[in-house]
Amino acid sequence: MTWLAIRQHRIRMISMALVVVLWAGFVTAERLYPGIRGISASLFAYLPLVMGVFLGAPLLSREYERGTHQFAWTQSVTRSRWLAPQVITAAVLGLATTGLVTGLIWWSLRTLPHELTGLLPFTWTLFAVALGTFWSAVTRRTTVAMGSAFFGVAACQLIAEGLRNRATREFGWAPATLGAVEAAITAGLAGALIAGAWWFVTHRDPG
Amino acid sequence: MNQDFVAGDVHPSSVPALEVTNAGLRYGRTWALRGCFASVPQGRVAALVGPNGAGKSSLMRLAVGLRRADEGDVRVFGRPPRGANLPRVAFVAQDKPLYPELTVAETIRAGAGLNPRFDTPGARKRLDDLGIPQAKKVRQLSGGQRAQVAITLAVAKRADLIVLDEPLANLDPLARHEVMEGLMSAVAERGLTVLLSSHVVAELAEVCDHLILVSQGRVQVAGDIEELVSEHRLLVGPSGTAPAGTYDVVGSSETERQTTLLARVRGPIHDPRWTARELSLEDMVLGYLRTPDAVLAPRPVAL
Repeated sequence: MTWLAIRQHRIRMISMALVVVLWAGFVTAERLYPGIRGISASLFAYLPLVMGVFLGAPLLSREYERGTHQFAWTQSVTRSRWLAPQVITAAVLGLATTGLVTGLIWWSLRTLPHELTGLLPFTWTLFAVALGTFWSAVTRRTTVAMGSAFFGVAACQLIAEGLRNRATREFGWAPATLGAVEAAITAGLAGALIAGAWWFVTHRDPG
Repeated sequence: MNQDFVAGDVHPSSVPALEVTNAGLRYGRTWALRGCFASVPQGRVAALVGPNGAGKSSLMRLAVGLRRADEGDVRVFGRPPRGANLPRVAFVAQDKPLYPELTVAETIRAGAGLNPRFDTPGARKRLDDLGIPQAKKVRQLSGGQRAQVAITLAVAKRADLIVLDEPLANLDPLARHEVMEGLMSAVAERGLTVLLSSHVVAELAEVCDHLILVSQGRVQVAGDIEELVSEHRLLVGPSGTAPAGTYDVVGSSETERQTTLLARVRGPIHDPRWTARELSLEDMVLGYLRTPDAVLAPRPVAL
C-alpha cells in the first residue's frame, strides 16, 4: 500500500520539483541582481498555501470524486492502514520541498528571517498539509477542499502574525521562545487535523 | 473447499456467506433499505435483482463494509465485513473504479500490495488470456476491458465472497459472455460464493442458483431459485372467488370473468374451479416487480 501511495503522488512530486526549480530561479535572480535581494524569503509565505492546496486538499477528495475509495477500501487492509501511507507520503513530500527551498534561501541570503528559522517552516508545512487533508475528508470535493485550504492557511498566517507581534510587544518574548511556541502550536494543530481527517474517513461512510 | 484457510479463520460451512438481519440504511433522512432479511449459503451464486433505485447497491455496500447498517445486522461468514474480515470479501463497484493514471500492470501491483493473499501470476495470466495489454493505462481501456481488469483483481484477491454490482452493465453481448465465463471458471476453481446484481433477470438465470429480489428498499423474496420457482404458481379461477388452500398472494389481476393470482403455495390447492400453472423464473420475477409492495421474505419468529 506504500507503493500505491507513492505512485499516486507522482504528479505531485513533479509539481513540488517545479516549486524547488522556481525558488532556484528566485535565488539565481537574487545573486545576479542584488537589488531584489530578499525576494526568495519574502515569497516563502506562499509555500504553505501551495502545500495545503496541492498536497493536502486532493488527498481524499480525489478518491471520493472518482469513486476509487470503493476500490481502496474493499481490499484487505483497513481504512486506517490505507490512510497512513497516503498522509505520510504527502507530509514527507512537503517536508522535503520545504527543506530544499529553505536551503536555497539560506544559501542565497546567509541569514534567515524569523518564519524560516528552526523547525518553523517544517511545522507550518505539516499544518498546511493537515488542514488541506482535513477539508479533503470533510468536503469530499477537490475544488472546495482546495479553496478551504487556501483561505484557511492564509487566515492562520494572518492570525499567527498578529499573535507574534502581540507576544513580542506585551510579553517581551525573545524570538527563540516565540519560534519554539509557534512551532509547537502549528505541529499540535497539524496532529489534531490529521486525527480529525482520520475520524471522518473511518467513521463517516461515504454515500 | 477453500485451500487458503488461515488458522483462526476457520468457519463451519453451515455459517452463511452473507447474512442480512433486519438491516436498514439511511441517506440523510430517507431510508434506502429498511427491514431487509436475506441469507446466502456458502458456495452459491446469488442474483440480487430489482428495479433501478430499489436498493441493490446499498445492500452490496453493506455486504462489503463500505457502509455500516443504521439498524439491524450484516454479517459475512458470521462476522461484520470490517477489519480482519476484509480479506474474505471482494467487491467490484458499479462503475468499476480503478486508478485511471495507473497502467494495468501497476494496478495489479497495487492489488498485490493491498492484499496478502493476492494471486499475481493468476491475475497476469487471466489478463493475457483476455488479450488485455498490461502496459496500457487504465484510462485507455475500453469499458469491457476495464470491467475485466476490475473483476480479475477481485478474483485474484482470493476472497471467499465476491460481490459484483451490475458487472454486465454497459458491456456488449460478447463481453458479457466473456465476463460471465471468466467469473464462473473462477467460481468453479475456488468454490467461492458470488453475489451479483442486475435489473435484468434473464442474464443471470443461467448462472445463478440463489435469488434475492429487492424492491423499494426491502427484500421481497429470497431463496434457492429452484425452490422458489417450484413454490410459486399462477392461479386462475372465476372472478369473485378465492381458492381453498394455504398460500401467500404476491399479486393479482382481475378481468370480468376470471381472477389471476401469483401466489407462493404451501400446500395443494383443492378447488376444482381453479387451475394452478407453473411459472418460469422470469414470470415469477416479473410478478414481484409488478407488485413492489409484496414482501414474502422469511422473517424471524421473534419479530
